[in-house]
Amino acid sequence: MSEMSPATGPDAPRGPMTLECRNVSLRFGGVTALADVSLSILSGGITAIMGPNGAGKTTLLNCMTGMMSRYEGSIRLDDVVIDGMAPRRRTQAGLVRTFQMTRVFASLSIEENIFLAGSAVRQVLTQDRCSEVIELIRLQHMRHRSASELSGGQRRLLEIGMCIAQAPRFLMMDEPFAGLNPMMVSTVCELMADFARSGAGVVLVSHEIPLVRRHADRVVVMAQGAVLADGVPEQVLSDPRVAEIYLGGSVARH
Amino acid sequence: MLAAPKWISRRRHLALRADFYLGIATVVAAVVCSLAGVGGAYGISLVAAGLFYATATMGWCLQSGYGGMFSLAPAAIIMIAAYVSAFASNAGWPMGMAVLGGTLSGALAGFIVALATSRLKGHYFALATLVAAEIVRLAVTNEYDVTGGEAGLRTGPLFEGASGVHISLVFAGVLILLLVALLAALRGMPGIAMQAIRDDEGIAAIRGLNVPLVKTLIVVVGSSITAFAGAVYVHYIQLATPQMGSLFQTTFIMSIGIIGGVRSMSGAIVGAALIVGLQEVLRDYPFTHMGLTALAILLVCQFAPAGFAGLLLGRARRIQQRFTVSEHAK
Repeated sequence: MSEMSPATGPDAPRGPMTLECRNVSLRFGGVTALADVSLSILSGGITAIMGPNGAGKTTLLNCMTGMMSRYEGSIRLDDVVIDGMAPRRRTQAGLVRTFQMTRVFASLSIEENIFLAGSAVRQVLTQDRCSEVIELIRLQHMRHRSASELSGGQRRLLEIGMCIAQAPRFLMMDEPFAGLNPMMVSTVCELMADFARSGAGVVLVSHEIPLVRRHADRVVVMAQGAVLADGVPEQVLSDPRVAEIYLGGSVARH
Repeated sequence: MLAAPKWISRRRHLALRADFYLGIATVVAAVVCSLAGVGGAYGISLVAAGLFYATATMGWCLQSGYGGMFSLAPAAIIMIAAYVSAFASNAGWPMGMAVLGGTLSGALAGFIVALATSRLKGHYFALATLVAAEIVRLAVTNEYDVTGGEAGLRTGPLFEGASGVHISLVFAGVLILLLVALLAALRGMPGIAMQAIRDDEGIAAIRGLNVPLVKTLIVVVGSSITAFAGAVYVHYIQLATPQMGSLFQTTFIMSIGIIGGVRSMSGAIVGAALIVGLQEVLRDYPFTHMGLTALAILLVCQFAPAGFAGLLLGRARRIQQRFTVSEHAK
């Protein structure tokens, strides 16, 4: 693991980068999904976004990756406004994500999934790099199996592998731990940490408080579409407002 | 983007190679029948028609099977290409240019429909192609002064003294070229990309594929192949008629594709051999023929969704596996 960094691809990120939301708002009819969110995320660390269900975490990821484009305000990648960019272009610019409900290409093999993801960005993925990524996600023993034959956890690892193959500047993970066994959770944590150490940014949406506490450098708590608290994990997770709205009374007392 | 790395997925390569050889073998068998004059003049015309349908259906399979855009307009594409090719050669164009013009006009028709329906999927797309096809067919039928209406438009032969054998050789040559080109494309990035788009179009776009471009290319290439078949065939029967673009012709092409296998290269060729063969065996019992074709489609859809070619290839793969130790078991 140590000699292989996840971001050693041909376009490995260099230097610190910022992903910035300025006054991003989004309404669905009468429902306010995002209310004036301003957030600046630096690469080289893990930023966790937490909050109760319906707080707007996934919606924020959707806006950042361009899957939802009708938001107000602006999103910048290294001071370049990316609001008009299609999702495909944003991926090529280095904003890559996983999904809460894992989305891989079911009829392609693991190898083909990785190859396609890597080759869709900039240049064709080499065989060495492809094998390296498959080793990182620990699926080398089944590289020729089609994705439809994988278990839920393996599919999640494959999706993360596809993202790594794209050598992103910012990797956004939407609840990557849901439904994973403990061993896979530690694999994902390792990948995530290595990835952040290599200089890229990780945006992690998760409800796993112990994992967030251990791995995240910064926690942003959202509620009703707005940022409620923002800071280092210890400080944010002991904030009484966060306790009341997200953690629940019993946790707050500890 | 078009590079075809050799290392990727041996499984895909093996399957494609078997598919390729099945297609080649069927085409060669047809040509041998034609050259040997099996069935006399009638047999020769039958082989020519079969190879024409195989070529036309191959274009349709590429779009509907590999591309996942189920079109109800292949006959209209054939008709457009046939009329343009007939007009051009009647106007004194060299035959090669006339056929090229017909092919390009079919490609253009496909491109226009692809643009107009770029936001439609599944049965909405199918309906839109049906509407477009019927509009063109009605226009051709009713513009009597230009097209000759129902009576059709006469035109000359492909070249002086061209026979059914020659036409068969032209189609066979083109089919083999197409098989070679498809094999090269499908084993590399284009094949993987098409499969990915069929699996999940939304995620393919998010992962960075240019989905609209790929889909438009598939429609244009598929339409060109179908159009080429029409542009050549019209100089064999030497008459372009609106019936070429009828829904009956479309369903005929669809039956060939579905029974042969829409997602195999050899599907169109195997399907054409089966359907045209069946049609002749039951020539004196037209209703029995239609019933049997319908029954065959139902059975294939239910029990062999990969079509007859898929069935043959699956059997071949199992036999092969029995005799060789799987290389990626380790």
